[in-house]
This record gives sequence, C-alpha cells and structure tokens, in this order.
Amino acid sequence: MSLVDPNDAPEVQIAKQAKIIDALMRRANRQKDVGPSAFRAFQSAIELQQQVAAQIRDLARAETELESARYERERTRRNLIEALSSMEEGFALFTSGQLDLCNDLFSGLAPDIASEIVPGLPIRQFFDLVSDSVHLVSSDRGLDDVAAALQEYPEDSTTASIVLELSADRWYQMSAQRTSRENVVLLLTEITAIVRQNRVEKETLIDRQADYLQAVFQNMRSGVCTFSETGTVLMNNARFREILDLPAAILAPGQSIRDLLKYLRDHKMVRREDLAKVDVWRRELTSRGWLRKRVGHGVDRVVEIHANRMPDAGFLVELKDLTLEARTKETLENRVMERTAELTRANAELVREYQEKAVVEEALLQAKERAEAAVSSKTRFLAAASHDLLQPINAAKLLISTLQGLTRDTELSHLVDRLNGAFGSAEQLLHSLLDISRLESAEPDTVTPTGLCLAALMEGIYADQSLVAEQKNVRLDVVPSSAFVRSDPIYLLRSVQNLVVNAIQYTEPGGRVLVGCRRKAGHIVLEVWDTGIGIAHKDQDRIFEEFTRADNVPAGSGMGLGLSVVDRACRLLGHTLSVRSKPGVGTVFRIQMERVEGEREEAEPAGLMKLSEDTALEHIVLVIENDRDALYAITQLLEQWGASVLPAHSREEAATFVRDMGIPPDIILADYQLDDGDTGVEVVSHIRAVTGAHVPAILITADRGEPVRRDALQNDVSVLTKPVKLSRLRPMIMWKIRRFQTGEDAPLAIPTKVGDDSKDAEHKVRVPGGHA
Amino acid sequence: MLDSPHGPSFVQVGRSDAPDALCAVQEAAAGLSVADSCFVLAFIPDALNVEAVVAALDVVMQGTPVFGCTTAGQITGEGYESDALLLLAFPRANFRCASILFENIRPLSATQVASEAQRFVEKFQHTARWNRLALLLADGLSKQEDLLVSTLESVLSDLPIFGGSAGDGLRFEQTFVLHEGRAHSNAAVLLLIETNLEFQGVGFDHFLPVGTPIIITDANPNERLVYEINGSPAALEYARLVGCRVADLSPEVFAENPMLLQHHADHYVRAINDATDGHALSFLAAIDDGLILTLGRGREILETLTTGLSLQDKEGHTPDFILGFDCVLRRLEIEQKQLLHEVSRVLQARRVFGFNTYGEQQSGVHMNQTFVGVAFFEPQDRALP
Repeated sequence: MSLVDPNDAPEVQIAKQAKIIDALMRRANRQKDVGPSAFRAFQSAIELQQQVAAQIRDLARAETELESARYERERTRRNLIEALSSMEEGFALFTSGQLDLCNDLFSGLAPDIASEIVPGLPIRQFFDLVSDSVHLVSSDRGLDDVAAALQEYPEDSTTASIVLELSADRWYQMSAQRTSRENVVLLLTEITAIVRQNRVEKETLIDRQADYLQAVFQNMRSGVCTFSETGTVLMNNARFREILDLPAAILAPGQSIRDLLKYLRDHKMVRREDLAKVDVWRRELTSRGWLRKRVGHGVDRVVEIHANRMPDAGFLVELKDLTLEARTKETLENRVMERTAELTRANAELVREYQEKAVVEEALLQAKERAEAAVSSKTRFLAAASHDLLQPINAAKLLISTLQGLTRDTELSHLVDRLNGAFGSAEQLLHSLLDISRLESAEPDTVTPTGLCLAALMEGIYADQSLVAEQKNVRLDVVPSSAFVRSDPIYLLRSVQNLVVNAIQYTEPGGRVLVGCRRKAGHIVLEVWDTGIGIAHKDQDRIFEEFTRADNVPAGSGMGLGLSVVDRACRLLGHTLSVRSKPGVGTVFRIQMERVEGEREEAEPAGLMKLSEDTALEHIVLVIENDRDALYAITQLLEQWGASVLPAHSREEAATFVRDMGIPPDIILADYQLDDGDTGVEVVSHIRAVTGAHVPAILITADRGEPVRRDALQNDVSVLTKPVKLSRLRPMIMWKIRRFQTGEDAPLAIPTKVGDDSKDAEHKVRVPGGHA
Repeated sequence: MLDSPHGPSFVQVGRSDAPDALCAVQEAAAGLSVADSCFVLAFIPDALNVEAVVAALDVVMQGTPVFGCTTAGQITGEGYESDALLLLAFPRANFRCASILFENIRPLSATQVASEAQRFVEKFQHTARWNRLALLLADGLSKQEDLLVSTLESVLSDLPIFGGSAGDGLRFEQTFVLHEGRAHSNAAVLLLIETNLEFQGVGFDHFLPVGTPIIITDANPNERLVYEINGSPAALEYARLVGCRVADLSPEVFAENPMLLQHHADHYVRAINDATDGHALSFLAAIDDGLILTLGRGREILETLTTGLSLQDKEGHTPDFILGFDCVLRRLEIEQKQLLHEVSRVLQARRVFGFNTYGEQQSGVHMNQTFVGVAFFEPQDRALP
C-alpha cells in the first residue's frame, strides 16, 4: 500500500507527496528547537526509558555473573583446601604478605610453633618463628635472607630454596615462589630419606675409592710414592722400592724423605752431583708444580724422576727405570747413523747418474731434431722436385701426342708409342712420389674426410682403367655401389686406382679384375680382385713399403710406389687395408671404410673418362631436334665420331625410324623443347614404349631450370645444357650405352675363383689407430 | 491458580454499584478499616455525581486522606465494572504517603511543576529499607499528561511513576481528580508512596506495527489534533487505510486500529479519540506535525493480558494484588470481541484493582491502549547481607 491513495489523480498525488515532504522537512527542522512541547517531552522520555531499560538489563546480567563468580570462588577454595590436605608436601599461600591458607603438614613443621601458624600470620614473622624454633638445627642459608628477598624483590618470580635441618635428623627443603605480585607460595618437601641415603652412599664411595686407589697404586708399572707437605712418606708401591732397590722400612708411612736421601747417599746409589741438586729441584717443584729429571742410579742404571705437587701441598714422585730403554736407544741411534751415511752415498751416486743421463737425453733430442729437420726438408724437396718434373713431362706428352698423329702409319709410329709409354710411366711415378710426399708431410689438412658416394668414384675408375685393361686383354669389371662412406675423395680414388692398376699390371692377358663393395656392420669394404700372379706370404708385409716389389714381379713393372701410397692414405683416413693372396691364383685387396648415411646424387661420369679420340662410336644414335641447322650439325659430328645417326625432327619421324629399323637405337639424344608443345622427355618415353626397351637417353636443352631437370631425371634421362661441350657429350654417350649394356644392377658376384679361403691366406696388414 | 480463594492481604477493597452517592460510599467503605489506613483511593463511575461522592467520602472517611478520580470503568474484585464505586484502603502498617495537587495544568508550566515537585519530594522522609514509588492521577481531557509526566520523571529521577488519566465514561466532557476530599478538574494529583512491600511495574500492550508509514502532514500538537495525514484529510485517509467508510468510524474502530509510533525496537500506541467534522482526528496522546506512524495490528488480547500479568517475585511468589490502569479503548475492544467475561475472570484471579483510563503513564511516558500497573508482593524477610 502506498503512502498516497493510488486512485487519486496524478496531480493530486503529487500535491500530497509535496505536503508529505514538506511536513517531514518541517519536523526535521524543528528537531533543534528547545522549549516545552508535549511531543518533545514524550520523545525524550521514551529515549530515556529505553536507555534505562538497557542499563537495567546490563545490571541484572552483571549481578548474575557476580553471583556465579562468587559461588565458583567458594567452591575453588574448598577444593583447594581439600587438595592441599591430601598433598604429601607442606604448602602455604601468603597473600599480601600474610598467611592465607596452609595445610597441616606445613603448620606441623615444628611442633613448638605449630599453634602460631594461623591465617593472618605475616610472612616475616613466620620465618622468625622458624628460626627461633628449638627444633631447627641448621639451614643452608639465613632464613632472614629468604624473607628479605621475598619482600625486597616483589617482581622476582624465581624460586628461593632453602634446606632446613631439624632435630632428630629430619631434613626439609623449603621453596618460596612468588606466583604473582601479592601471592607467595611456600612449599615444604621432606628430604630426610634422600639426605640419609646420600650420606651412606658417599661414605661407601670414599671407602671404595681408597681401595681402588691402593690397587691402582700397586699395579702401576712406574714406581710411585706420595709425600706429605712436610716430606714424610704417605703411600708407595712395591715397584718404587724395587726401582730404587730400597728396604721397605725406609719407605714405611711416616718416614721422612731426608732419611731416604741419606740412605741413598750412604749406599752411593745416587751420584753426588745429583744429590747436590736436590734443594734446587725442590724449589723448582714448589714454584712450577712439577719436575722431571733423569738421574743415574747405582752403577749403570738410569731412572727418570717425575714429581708433581698434590692438591694438599704434598707431592707425588713417580719413578721409571729407563736403563733398558736408554741402552736400546743408543743402539738404535748408531744404526740410524750408519744407514743414513749409506743412503747419502747412494743418493750422490744417483744424482751423478741422473746428470749423465740428462746429458745423453739432450744429445738425443738434438739428434732427433736434426733428423726431423732433414726428413722434413727431404720431403719438401721431393714434393717440389716431383711437381716441377711433372711440368716438362706434361709438355712432352702433348708433343708426343702430336707426334703420334704425324707419324701414324709410319715406321716411326712404333717408336713414338714406346716413347709415349715411357713418359706415361714417368708421370705415374712422379704422381706417386708427389702423393707420398704429401702424405708424409703429416699436415693436418692433407686429407679431408667427407661423406662421399662410391658410385661416382667406381664409375670413374672403370672409365680410366677399362682401356688399359682392354689393351692388355684383361677383363675389368666394376660393380658400382651407391653406398656412402666417410673418406677423402682424392686419396681414396688414388688408392683404388693404384690397386686396380696393380691388379691389371700383374694379371696375365686373358685374366680378370673385379672391383666391388660389400656391406659389413656399419662399414663398407671395397674389394679389388684379380687372377694375377699373387703375392707370397713372406712378401705380404713388405709390399706396402716404398720401392718394394714381391720376388715374383717381372722386372720393369715400375718402382713399387703404388701400394705405399695406398697404405699411407688408408692410415691417414682411418681405413683398414688388408690383403689376401695366393701365388699363382690371385689376390684380393680390401679397404674397409666407415659407412655414412647419404643421398645418392645422379652421378655423371663427366671428366672421369679419358677415351682416346680414335675410339669409334659404333652405335645407332637417334637424334630428335626440331631445329634443322642444329640437327644437321649434331648429325655431322656424331657421324664423324663413327656413329650411325637417325636424325628426326619430331616424335612421328623418330617413331617411323624406329619402326622401320625394327630394333631400338643404342641411345637417344633429344632436345627438350619440340614443336607442338612436345617435350624430349615425352618422346623418349614414347620411343621406349614403342620399342619395349629402356633405351638410354640424354636430354640436350638450353633450359637450365630445375623443373626440366627433375622431369628428365625422373624418367631416367640425363641432362646436358646447351651449348654442349663435346668433351662431355662423347664420354657421356659412351658411359650411358655401356651402362645399359653391362646392366647397371648387375649383382656383385665373384666372377672368378680367386685363391682359397684358408685363414693363413688372409692377412691383415695394418691395424690403424686402435681399431680392431 | 487463576482462581485464588483469598483476597489480597495488604489492601482492603470495597465496592458498591448503588446508584446513590452516599449509599455507594457507605456500602463500599463498610468493610474497610479506615482508621488503620494510610490513605484511600476512590475510583468513581460516571454514573455517580462527583461532588456528591466527594461529600459522602468526607463524612465517611473521618479524616483519612482520599485520592482518586472519575473513570471510564472500574476494575473491582469482580473484574470489569461500569457503574461501581471502588475504594481501596492502604494499611498504615505497610504504606506511607504524601500528596501534591497540581492545579491549572492547562497550559502546563513545566518549570513551576518541576520546582514544586522538587520541593515536595525533598520534604518526603525516607524510611530505611522501604520502597518508594509515585502514583499520578491526571485530568484525562487536559492533554497535558505527556509534558507533565516527563517533567515529573526528570525531577523524581530515582522514583518510578505510574499513572492513569481520569475518564468520564467515554463522554469526553469533563474529568476530575480527587485530592484530600475535593474534586478538581484541569488538575493532577501526585502521590509519593513508601511501602515495605516489594513491587514491580507492569506495562504492556497488544499491538504490532504493520503496513506502510503514515505521515502527519498537518496537525495541532497542542490540541493533539491531526488535520491531514499523507497529504489528505486525516479521517478520510485513515478510513481508506483501515478499509472502512468515513461514516463508520467509531470508538470501536479506533480502538482496534490505533496508530503506533516506532522508536528503536519499541513502539508506542497513539490512540485516536474521535473524528471531527472537518475530517480531523483527535488523539489521546502526543502527536506532532511531520511524525511518521504506522497502523497497529492487535494480537490476541486475552493472551497478552494473561502473560503480562503473570508476574513473580524473586522467590517465585505471585503478587498480593495489582493496582491497574487499563485503557478504556482496550476495554472497548474486549467488549467488541465479547471477551469481557473471560478478561474479568483473569483480572479477578490476578487480583487486579483499578480503573479504565483515558491514558496511561509509565517511565515518564504517556501512552494509550496499554495496561499499566503496579504489582505488590508480600515483603520477604530480608536477611542481612
């Protein structure tokens, strides 16, 4: 329900609200008025009334609490008194210096004052009463002191404790503690039993200790005697008398030390000079508290005297018979001296020897340095000489090459060929020398092992050596491997080349040489087999040395540097080189290399093949080229090289040639960009499809872009860029055809039985740097 | 327990419903030991002539001081009565008394009242270990009770004051207070009482504040007249809030729907006396312009009465008797609800004596529609602490 009748017209409601506000404002303003008004009187009255009511409530509550507190206090006090009565200790509480309550045990401490210990007794007076009691025998501190302390230091809450001895051997401990500013608590504990027991235990202990001491005394290894302050004997053991060789009477308790000394003097047991010092010693003992002397005794004995002052101003004398000890020591000292002298002499000898040795070492070092310098300079000289010699030989070879052309088909021709061969050998020799000198120089960057693919290397070997083998009528087979190894490309090539050259050289015409690889647990083993003359077991070690050849090697086979180069290179590269051979059957050399992961790159034989110009290209070559001039030029060139050329302008022409011919061409050379958007790669695929043979193909293009290259390689088509270098084109044609004919994926098989597998034929030559 | 077989021990009660003043006085006083009484309280019904009663009392009481007033109903030993003269005689053995009459209280001179009361209370000798209280009887139409009682409360600070306003049987014409045998209008009587009885003050009402606030927007505080509430003519707005027609407004409606003034946790009833022709409302207690009131809703009146009268002293004894000042508006409501008989039985059982007032005073406050009283207990032997 609202303040204003909601049925009223809005303006009426507003007017009413205004009145309400006005009235409230008027009233609010009047609050400050003074002077009589019925309502104000009423208002102040009700306020007062409410205040009074609140106060009355508080008062009533307080009264209730007070009442219950009073009851609680009474009860607590009753409980306390009951508890105190059952305590086994005397207890008294003094409040504001006056006895408030105590139990019977407390008040009954001393019967003659019990009647005066009543509530209200001042604490001071209590202590006076106790100290005046006839029953008090003693106390460990003044009772007055405790009372004074309690009054003087009201803040101090620490316990003051006092032991009281009462008549009839009764003992009490009285503890006074101030528990608050007003309250002092006295606790009375009976300790009679403890005191008596302590007393008994103490007496027993003293007796036992005396016995114990006596026993210790008697059993000591030293002689011991104690004297009183005045110098009379108190106690001694048998050992003491034994050392001094004294009768027991002299050392009976109560005898004076003077009598003892007199006895010693009379029996001449002590040297006179020692006796004269007795007074000095005594003073020393008195002032310092201890004394230690060694004196001769009797004829040949030594006694050590040890004197100490005792707490009761007497002193204790301890004797040790050092006679034996002194003798032993003397003997020992003599021996030590002798030994020392010996050692000193030996040492001097050693020093001299060492010095001599040092001189020799110095000389050796200088000699070594000189030798090393000599070797180094020799190596450098050899390298320089070999290199310099190669220049004129190169020139000579060029001239001979020209001469061969000029003298072809003359009677001189034979002579020139011999000349050419002689220079070839000289060049080979010089290359080997150069290699050895480089490998010898031991410079860290001589070899740089990297990950390399064996395929290119092996193909290069084949290209280089196939002609030589052919000329000697030795069949050379290389089974390329796509494995990657960690090695130096130059020296590995040189090593394999040397092995292959050797194999061909020492294999009779009609024999075979095979190069291939095996995988072997993280390694690749490159093997060179031959069916040559073999190496005798006794020579297998020597053959790796410079200028060494096996006995069965025919004269004029070179200087024997090849294997030496192989051996050095393998050692530097960390490869394991081994040989297995049987004279008359054949030899196999193995190079074991670390295998690495790598990606096979399309290897090209470029630059590795050295074919003589006059080897004819007796193959059928299909050339596809849409440019007529270009087609003519390449056709002329190929025909000059000896090939049969099928020149085609387009896919159709090419297909027609192939169809007409009935057999696939040996190789296809194709331009990439053909007419009508056709590409060389597509035409190659087409021809291959038509002929059903995977004809080798080379793409010749001016486009050096990667897409073209990738397209070609995916279709097994090699790429040459225009302008074509003829020196590359020809070897590549040769290589591709040969690869196709021999079969790229021919399995590695031992074509000929070479040697046997007996263990003694296998001979590891060297184990490089710690590898097994 | 409600029906006690015995009457009170420490007050003598006489009543008479004789229509003649002298007869009534004689009848009522018949059982009283006037000579042994300290003072007598007389509560006069509207039916009797005040002057006649006063004259009769003068004769009958033989010098024993008589105080009292005209009423709007009496609470005798029989419960509520309307036409009975009630006399209460307080024995000398248990009571000491002194009185002062304040005349011409309208308008009230607070300073004069204060200084007179001060002097008066100083003269009143204190008896050791007796309890003191004050009774106030005031002209019920003077409209000065608020100021009067609060002034007295501040002067008689350590003295509890209980009071009732005289009535005239709901005629609201003229009321009288009696002082030493004489009737006064426009006056008030203050009695200082000492007693060896234990006593407890009683005060309760049966209302709870409900509903929205009511703001007095125009009023005459001196006349307790309210012209407007909530910006509307007072009677119209009140009728709207109560939910009846203006024409139906009556003392019964007012009795059932009083207004309450809230102050902190407590509330105080502001009873409505009447609706005037100008749609103003006249009140029986102090009001003010701008005052915020709420309507009161009555609780179970019989229950609150029973609970309010269930008193015990520290030892658990019930009161010997209760002197009660009960608002006439409560009685109207009780009659309306036809509870007169039940309430009378309760009053009888609790030995309540007194009258129906036009207003009640307690703790310096003038109120309406409450029951105010003093419960007297038999004195206990006070052991020395």
